[in-house]
Amino acid sequence: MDYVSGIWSGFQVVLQPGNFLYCFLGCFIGTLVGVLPGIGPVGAMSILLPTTFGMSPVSAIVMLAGIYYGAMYGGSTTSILVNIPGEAASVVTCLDGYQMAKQGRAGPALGVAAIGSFIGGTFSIVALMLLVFPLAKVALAFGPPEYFCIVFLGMTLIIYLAQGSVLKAIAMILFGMILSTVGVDMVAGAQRFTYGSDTLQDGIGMVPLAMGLFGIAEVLTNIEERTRQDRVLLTTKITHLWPTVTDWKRSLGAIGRGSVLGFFLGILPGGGALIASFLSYAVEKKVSKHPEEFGKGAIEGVAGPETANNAGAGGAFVPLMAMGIPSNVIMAVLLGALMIHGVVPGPTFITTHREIFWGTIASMYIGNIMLLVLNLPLIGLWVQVLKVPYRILMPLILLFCLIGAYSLNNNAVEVLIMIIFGVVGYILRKYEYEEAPLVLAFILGPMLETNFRQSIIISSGHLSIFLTRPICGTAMVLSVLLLISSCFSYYRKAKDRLSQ
Amino acid sequence: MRARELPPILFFLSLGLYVSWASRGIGVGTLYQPGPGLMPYYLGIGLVLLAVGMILRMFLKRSQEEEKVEKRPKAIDYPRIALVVAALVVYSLVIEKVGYIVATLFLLVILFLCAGAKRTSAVIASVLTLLITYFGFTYLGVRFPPGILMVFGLY
Repeated sequence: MDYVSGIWSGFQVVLQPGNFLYCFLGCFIGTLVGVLPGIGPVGAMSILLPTTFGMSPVSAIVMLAGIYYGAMYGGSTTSILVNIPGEAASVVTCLDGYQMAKQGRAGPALGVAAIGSFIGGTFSIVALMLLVFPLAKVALAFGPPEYFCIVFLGMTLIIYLAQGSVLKAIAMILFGMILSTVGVDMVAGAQRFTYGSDTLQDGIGMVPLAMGLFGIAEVLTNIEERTRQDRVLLTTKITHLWPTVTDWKRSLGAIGRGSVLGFFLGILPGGGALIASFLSYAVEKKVSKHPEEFGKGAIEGVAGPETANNAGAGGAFVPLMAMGIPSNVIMAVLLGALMIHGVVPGPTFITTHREIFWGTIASMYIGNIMLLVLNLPLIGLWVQVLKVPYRILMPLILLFCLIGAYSLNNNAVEVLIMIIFGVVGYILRKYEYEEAPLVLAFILGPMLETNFRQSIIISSGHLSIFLTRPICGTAMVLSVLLLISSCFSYYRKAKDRLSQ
Repeated sequence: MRARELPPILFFLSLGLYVSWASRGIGVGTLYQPGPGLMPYYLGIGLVLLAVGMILRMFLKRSQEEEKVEKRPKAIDYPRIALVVAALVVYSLVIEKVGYIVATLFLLVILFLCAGAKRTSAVIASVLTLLITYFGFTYLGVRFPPGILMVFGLY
């Protein structure tokens, strides 16, 4: 594959005025939702999905991808200045970023976060470009049994990498898969749990589900306190955004490690930017000569995680573009967007839809530069945005969710479905159940079922097909090992708790 | 796991029981000749087993947990949440009959008031938001339901 001609054609696509504008819009909206606590990239992408119907597939994906990696950039601003993460992947940045800001070093913290994000983002784009082609070539030989086993391995990884309780993660996966069975069965054409509803015949929509669980539930969580604490914004002037030589010396290693770690963790199903940032922080603390400074304003504690979450954002595109398998919820929304535009990602995607693939890659290069400009010289603008009170934001977020759900198919039933899932999501949050495994299982469930049934037809009813093929066997053995490891870790934690 | 965690577990238990029971009507088939109900059937059973396991674990650990002092939960403004949810549900039920403009205006006023805005500010903010979103999204190609405005010939 000629990478040079490919990337050149990608730049030609993205530098067309329309696509360039959508790339900027995506980065701008992404930074905005990253800065504003209360609405994350999933919510923003879901809300804006219907507005992409009139666009070309390239413009739509360029804009939606821009929202994703833009949010990773913007999330650090609130973590550093307000001690509230704008989105989940920036939680760990609060630990040292806010301490740096309190010490009058908000400028270098914001600067190193933006530069690290740029380097991590750029590294992941190059790695993505190089990795997608060989992976897609391998995936061309995959049949239904291989896809079944890989998706099964993905589900196991979601359990293994669950942030909280393993049992709760399994419950959410089963719940998500049950929800995915609603609608007309793709193999036999039978109706399942539709109760005579025309809307449910097409299944529960991914967008109302995601907007309910991530948008509505987030608002309900935010308004539940009678006396909500106002955000305390540091009023000191932000200067010296460019880090000093000492800051550079301390940050370069963290940025390098964060780039590699973030990219590879981003590829894993259920991994992505969130786990990448947490693990990067742990690694930096471990390798640091001054671990006691962590939590008190260590610049490595900002550089590593912020680089890792941006590199993770790029890594997440690999399984989607090479195999059509989304590795996280955001990629699931992107997959939905591609399918709405009649594009089915898979091993042939990069050859049959060259324009979209290379356009997206080139837009990421340009988007990273746009974000650097948006986040460093224009930091004052985002500080002003932070001052917008929640009493104004809350009705706007809810209204955008309602418009987003309605405009999908001009169907009020989908609005009701979104509200129901908003309430369900809010209640589940109260009991510390995570929404991400549910949504991922909802997306991967139909893939798992269809490929299982097709495999059984191919093998004339023999389950051994999932063990005798090399890729299947490897994936199944890995899945079993991961499950045993999860059970062992769960048992050990329970034993420790009991002994305490 | 504490006793207060019982409601979601009971929900999962009931859901699992219902799904596995209802799947039998769809046609489960066998593992070697799967029917459309096979996947939900086994998922339902899985959810039931998981819920039973969680309940057993909860009761086994209860005696130890009882000794611990539970953290006092923060004061939650449930009436406000209920009002917001009720407003959203009513909105979804009436939007096609009443139309976007009228339904959204009322909804926004309620939401701004719930969010703590004063009455006059709530009305002004609602009208402004309504106009901006209406023209903005119409420009982007979104078609809103006209509702009662069509009856009066205003649409």
